Amino acid sequence: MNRKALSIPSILLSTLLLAGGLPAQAGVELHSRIDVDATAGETSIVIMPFSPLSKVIEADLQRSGRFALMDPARTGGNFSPEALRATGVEYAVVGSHSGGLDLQILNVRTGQVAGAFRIPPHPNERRMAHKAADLIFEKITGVRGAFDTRIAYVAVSGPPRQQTYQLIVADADGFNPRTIVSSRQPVMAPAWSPDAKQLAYVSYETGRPVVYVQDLASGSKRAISDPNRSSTSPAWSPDGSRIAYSVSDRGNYNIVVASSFGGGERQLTNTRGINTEPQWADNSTIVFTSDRSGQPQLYRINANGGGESRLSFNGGYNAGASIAGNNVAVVRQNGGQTQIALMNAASKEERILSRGTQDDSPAIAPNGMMVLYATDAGGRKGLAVASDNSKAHQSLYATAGEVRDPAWSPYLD
Amino acid sequence: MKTTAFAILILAGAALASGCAPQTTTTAGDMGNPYGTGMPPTGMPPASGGNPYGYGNNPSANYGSGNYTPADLNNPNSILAQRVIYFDFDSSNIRPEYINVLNAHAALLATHPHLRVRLEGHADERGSREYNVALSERRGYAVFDYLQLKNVRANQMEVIGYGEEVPAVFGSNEAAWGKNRRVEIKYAGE
Repeated sequence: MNRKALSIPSILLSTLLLAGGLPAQAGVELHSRIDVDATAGETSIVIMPFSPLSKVIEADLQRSGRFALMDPARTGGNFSPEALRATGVEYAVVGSHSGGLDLQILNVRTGQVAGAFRIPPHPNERRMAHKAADLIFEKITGVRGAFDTRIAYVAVSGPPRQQTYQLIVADADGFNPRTIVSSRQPVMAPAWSPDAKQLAYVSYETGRPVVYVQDLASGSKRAISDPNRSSTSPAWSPDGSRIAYSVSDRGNYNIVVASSFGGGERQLTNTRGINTEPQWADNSTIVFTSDRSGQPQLYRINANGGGESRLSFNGGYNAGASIAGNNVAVVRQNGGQTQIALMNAASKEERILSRGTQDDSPAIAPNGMMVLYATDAGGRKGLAVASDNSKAHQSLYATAGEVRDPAWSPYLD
Repeated sequence: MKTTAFAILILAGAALASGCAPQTTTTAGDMGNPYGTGMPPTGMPPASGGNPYGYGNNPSANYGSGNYTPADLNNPNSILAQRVIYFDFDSSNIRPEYINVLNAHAALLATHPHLRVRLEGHADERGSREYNVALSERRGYAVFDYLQLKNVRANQMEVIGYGEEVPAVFGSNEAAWGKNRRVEIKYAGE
């Protein structure tokens, strides 16, 4: 293992991948670039080149920031246990690909098999690789992997005032994009249903922001909020039965909860000013943004009302929370810069994850270990994924136009 | 209805005469109140043409005289051609230089109650995207409240917050941000 190279705290590895999908049906193609900072101290692993999918597994593990990926070429083509051991690598993944994937994780130092899996065939072969990466990740870190998930985002193209807005769903690594909404009016704030089969979002298609729910398979959609009032920021309860969103009354926004089938709207907050961006911490607790103290901060409230209290105190501007367990990603504004901070609700530790100066819309992976967000890093408006330890950064961008406003799906079945 | 509007006007006049800014109906938050603190008559920039109280010292431009017709909307030389007003960062205060523009639109709308406008609020790209929807709507209501004080009927106006979703210009710099923090006055049928 080339420890020296790995310990250099600079861009160690950059890969350029072209995310495909069928050009005709495709959403906006995303290009991907993964920059791994120092991963010294992280688990070293080599994925043997048994299939083109080996590279997909490698990229998944890389962007988690938890692995130092060794180039298989460093074995000189000799994959014997002795040759592997001589490289110093800790784990090796060997396998075969015929229909499905058969994989073994070898603990190189002990020579033991640390895990063996079979991934059944799937029409989207890349998903087989993501499932494999999930299992490898879980076997070695003890945390469920979240690579076999999906993302939604908004792609915007065209000159000012003549823009086209597309709501796109794709694999979590940006591949297989599919446009589910295309509009000349703004589309924003996508939110996944807990079964990942429906997407709630806000569309201005009637001239004002209204919350809709769209079924991904059939494309059918229904309005959830009152079409005569401006509403924004939908969020599904973890049990799927309710959707929280924010409703305007003459510019004052308050949090409401309604049935995910529409109807039964019930107002939770009742303050003047702005209460918006609800997120469910669990089935009975909602976290939201409020400017009741002057600047936006995070608050919590019981999903049945009452029990309001302030959560964020560090920094003058905390908004747009995205929650997975104790991990809370937020938009933090500081000195003219807007960045993504990751807070741990239990330990109160905080870390700035983003690399741009105008970053927003954090969407945390369901295992809480990666955060997808919108960024201006590199002078182009795209998406980025940061590992929770900030060691790995992946940028996802379109060659033309802007991609933004991402949402990360729950675990898939 | 008429009495109510008259009463509001009296109150507004009293507040302005005493140098007190009437409070917005939205909470201040970081956006302050839409009329700005300390905007007494003496604070008005005389150079901006006309005065903000509708006396109309520039008859050729028809400032504040109330003699506007819908046809003036199509006249590029009319003050009514100005349909966009801009805001300071984190503010929904109406800047003094736009009082004349708003007074002209108010005069047209108040005398032509069949006219309808959408007040479309916008924010710059900074800050949380969904939060900005609410902030931009607050700007729209700052204009709504001002026009209502000038006798425009509430049912003539509709406010929509677009947040940062529809920039007027692209760019991540103060010049672009300043052009994007705005309320656009859109007449129905346009």
